[in-house]
Amino acid sequence: MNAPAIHQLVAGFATGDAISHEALALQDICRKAGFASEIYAPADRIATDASHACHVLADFQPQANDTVIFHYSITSPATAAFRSSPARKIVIYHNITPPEFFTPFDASIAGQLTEARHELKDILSQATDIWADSAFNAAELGELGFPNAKVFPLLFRPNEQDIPPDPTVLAKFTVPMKNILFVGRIAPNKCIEELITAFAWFHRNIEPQSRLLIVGSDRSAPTYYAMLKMYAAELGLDTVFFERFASSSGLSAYYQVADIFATTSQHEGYCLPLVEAMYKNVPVVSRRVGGTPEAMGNAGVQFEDLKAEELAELFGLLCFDPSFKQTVIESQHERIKTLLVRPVNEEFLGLLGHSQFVPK
Amino acid sequence: MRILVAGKDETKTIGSELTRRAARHQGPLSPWAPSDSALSLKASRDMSDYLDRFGKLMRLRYALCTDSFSISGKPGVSGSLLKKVKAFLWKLLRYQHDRMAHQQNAINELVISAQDFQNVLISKNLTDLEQRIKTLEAQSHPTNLKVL
Repeated sequence: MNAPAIHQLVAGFATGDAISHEALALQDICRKAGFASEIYAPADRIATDASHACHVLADFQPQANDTVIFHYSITSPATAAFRSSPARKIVIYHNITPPEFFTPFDASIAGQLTEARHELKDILSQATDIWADSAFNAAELGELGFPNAKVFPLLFRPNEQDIPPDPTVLAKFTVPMKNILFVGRIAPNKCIEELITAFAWFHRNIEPQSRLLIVGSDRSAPTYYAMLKMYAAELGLDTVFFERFASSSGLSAYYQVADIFATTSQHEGYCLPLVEAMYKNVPVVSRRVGGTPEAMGNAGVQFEDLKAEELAELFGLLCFDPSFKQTVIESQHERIKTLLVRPVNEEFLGLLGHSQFVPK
Repeated sequence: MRILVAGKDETKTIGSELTRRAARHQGPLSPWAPSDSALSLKASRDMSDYLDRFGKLMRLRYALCTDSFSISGKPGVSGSLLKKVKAFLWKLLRYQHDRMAHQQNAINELVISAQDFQNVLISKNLTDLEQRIKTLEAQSHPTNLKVL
C-alpha cells in the first residue's frame, strides 16, 4: 500500500476562484508536510488556463488509507466521487448561496444550489470530520444537526498579494479620480446593483471625478452581468468599469489605484477580498452579513440597513476626511497583524490529526 | 441602520451625520419608471421571462442619447477653462454627433428587429417540432396504453 495521501475534491477549478485558491494553498501545505496531494474536479468544470493544477475527476482513485477533503458549496459530479471513496472523508463547508438569488438569472445554477441544500445532510453524515470556513457557516451546520464542525477560516496568503502591479492596468487609470473598487464574482448574491446606485449618488452629488471599478468574472451569471451593464448605462454612468477577471498582478494594480473597497453583498460565507483590500491599505466598507464580520474583525467600516444615499455619503467621508480614513486604516493594520501571525500549517495539520508532521 | 467603525458602534454619531447629509440627494436617479428599469429583471420568474423582459428593455433603449449634459470639471482656473473648452467642442461638433447617432440608432433598431424575427422563427419551429413529436409518439404507441 502507498504512503497515505491527502487529496481534494472541488466542484470546479478556476484561477481567481476562492475555493480553488484555498485548495491550492492546502495542497501546498500538504506537500511541504510530506504528503502526496492532488486536486480533482469534473473535467467540464476546469478552466483551461488552470488545467495544469487540477486533475479530472475520472483520475480520482484514492486508497483506504488516504484522506479526501471535499470542498462543498454546490452540487456537482464530485459529490458522487466523494460518496464512493473508501478514503477518510473530510468536508469543508463553504456555504451554499441561497438559490433564490439565481432564480431570475439562471435556473440551472438555482437548481444546482437547491440540490446542494438537499444533499448536504447526507454528505455531512458520511464525513469523518466536518470543517467550515467561518463560524457563520459552522453555525448553519449546527442548525442542520451537525454541531461539531470545526472552524478553519479561508486562508490568506500575503505572498500572493506582494506582486508588482500590472502596468497596463495602471495606465488605464492615470487620470486622477476617486476610485471605488469591488472585487468578487459577478453574481446576484453580491447585489452589485446596490453599489452602483450608491456610486451614482456619490458621482452625481459628491465627487463627479470618480470611478467605480468592478473586478471579477461574469462566468457564473452572465445574465446578471448584462443587467448590471444595462443599469449603469440607465443611470448615465460612464465611469463604471466592468473589468471582468483580473490576474494577480492586475488585482495588485486595482488595489493600488483604489481609494475605497466596497461591497454590498447580501450573502457571504467569509469574503477573502475584504482581507486582501485591508492588506493593501485600502479602506474597506462592507455590509455586515454572513461571514463578513469574521473576515473584518474589529476593522474597517461595517454597516447594516444603509440607504444608497447614506452609503454615498460614507464614501465621501472616507475620501475627504483624512482623520476618519486614518482611523479606519489603523484598525485594518491591527486586523492584518492578527491574520499574519496565524499558524496556518500547524492549525491545518492539527485539524487533520497529523500533528507529527508539523515543522518544528 | 447600524455603523461600526474600527469595531466601534458609531450609529448615533457617524450614522446620524450620514443620514443628515444624505437628505441633499434629491430626484430620481433613473430616467425610467421602475417597470422599465434594468432592475425589473430581478423580478423575472425564470430564464424565459428574463429574456422576454430583456427584449422589451432593449427595444426601449436602442437609441443613443445626444441630449445636452452637465460637463464636469476639476476645481481651479485650469479646470474651469477646460470645462469651457469641452462645452465649446460639444456645441461645435454637435452636427457630426447627431448624424452619427442617427446612423447608429438605425442600425441598433434593425439589429433588435432581426433578433425579434429570429425569436419568432425559432418559436414557430419549436412548436412545429413538438407537434411532430406528439404525432410520431401517437403513431408508434397507437393503443398500447388503452389495452394495458
